[in-house]
Amino acid sequence: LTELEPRPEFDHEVSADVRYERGLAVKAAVALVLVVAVVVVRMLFI
Amino acid sequence: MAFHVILTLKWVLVALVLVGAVPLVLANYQFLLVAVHFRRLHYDKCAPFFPRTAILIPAWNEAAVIGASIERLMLLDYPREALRIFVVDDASTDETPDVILAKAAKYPGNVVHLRRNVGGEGKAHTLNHGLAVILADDWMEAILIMDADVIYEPQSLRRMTCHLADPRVGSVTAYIKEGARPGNFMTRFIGYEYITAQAAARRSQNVLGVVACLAGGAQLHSRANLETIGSRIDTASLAEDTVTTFLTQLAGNRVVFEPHATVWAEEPGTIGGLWKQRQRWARGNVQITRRFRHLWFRPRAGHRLGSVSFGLFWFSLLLQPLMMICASASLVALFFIEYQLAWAAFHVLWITNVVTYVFITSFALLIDPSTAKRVWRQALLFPGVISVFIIATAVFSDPIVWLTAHALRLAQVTATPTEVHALELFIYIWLAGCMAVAYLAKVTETRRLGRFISPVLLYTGGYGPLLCAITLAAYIKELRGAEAVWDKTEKTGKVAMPA
Repeated sequence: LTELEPRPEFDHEVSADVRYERGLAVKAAVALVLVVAVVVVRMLFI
Repeated sequence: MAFHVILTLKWVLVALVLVGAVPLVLANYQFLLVAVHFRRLHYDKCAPFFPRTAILIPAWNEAAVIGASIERLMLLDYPREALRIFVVDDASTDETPDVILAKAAKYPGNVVHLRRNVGGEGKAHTLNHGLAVILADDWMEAILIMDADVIYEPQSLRRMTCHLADPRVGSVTAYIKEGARPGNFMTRFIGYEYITAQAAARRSQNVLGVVACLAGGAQLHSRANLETIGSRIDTASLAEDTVTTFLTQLAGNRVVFEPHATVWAEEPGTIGGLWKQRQRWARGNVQITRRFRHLWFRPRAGHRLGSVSFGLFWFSLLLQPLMMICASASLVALFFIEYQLAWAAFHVLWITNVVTYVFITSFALLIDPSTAKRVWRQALLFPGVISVFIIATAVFSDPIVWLTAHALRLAQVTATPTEVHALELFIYIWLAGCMAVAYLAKVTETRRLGRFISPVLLYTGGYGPLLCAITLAAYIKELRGAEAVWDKTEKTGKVAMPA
């Protein structure tokens, strides 16, 4: 396959994508906290 | 003796009710895998990579969309000398050939018009016509197969090709987003569905190391991979994209989903259009299940298609309508055998539903916030208004019961115990009945006043149940051996990519 000169923005893009993917773990945690909140509200207050 | 028989029957029925929770539990598992996607990224093996890429577009009466698609392809952030667009005109009867020829004149050497004089055999045949021409010389190093209406973001192709720097990767697919603007309630439902089915599900497949399907609108193959799988697209199935994906992985090549390569596609704006498209996909999946029956749940070295997790995901989606019917029928039977046990089993099932609904809806909206802004209402009402009300009742039962009782008192209506039991029975039947209501939305769409009635029925029954009803209809068609006709989804050129 044809390989051209590496471009400086490639590493920058990959770093941004990796950051986004790591952020998904945090977002999953937020969603799980929401689930726990619903369960706690259900058990304690209703 | 009779006591033991009834006892066994009761617990069998409870087990069958809980079968309805299996797709929900697996959906949660799938979304949890998304959270660890960052640990299985392929970027460490990527490099800036610009293989000579042939872009293959099948086109049958695509005059409304093909011109814009070619223009956007010419704006790709990719070396112009490494790009050739081959449009296979499948004996179009509209202005498609004129549009392609005009683009070929505007971009000489970059746009090639190929014509089939006898068309209508389906997408796979059209693609094979183009592949024969492209593979006849050795210019092509990679091939991108796409649909005529798909609009590529400028960086999307190079974000896909960088994965081919790893010779173990045979194919790469992109994140297809629903792009019709201004759109309507249907396209917004699809927009949300694509967050769950593409952005989330395909990330989880990356984690498992096995991809179920390369999106038909964005599949990039290395030449070596294409030649390994026979240099042609399967014509025996309605799901030729999935066959290509399976063959690639069976050949030992890796398939990667690149979530940051975004492309935009026009999706059906009517229930009838969606029904036609998805029934083709669902029938294709039934065919694939049969064709690759020797693979399921049989882990082997070289590929992960036989992994238990992948098998569970595949079958939970395929069998979901049957599981819903099974849970509903078992609840109804239990209701007549032991009323309290039915209520307890229903509670377990519905608590699972609540957890799944809250976790998946909130996480999916967070995965793609830009789409979420447009589709959050459809996300909330994805299971249907009545199911969402039942979910709310399961969580906030006391306030809702109080409100309902208060409302009934105000209206001077008294609910008898029989009426309360009838309401419970309705809820049990609703588990499967929602599919019938969603089907009615499709049936009424083309009738008088359908414009008003059909959306109400869809919101009531739910978009999720509509997809289940389509799968159920696909089983029936496959069982009856109905002719496998390629029903093309009509495209009107409404895709507008955000600036």
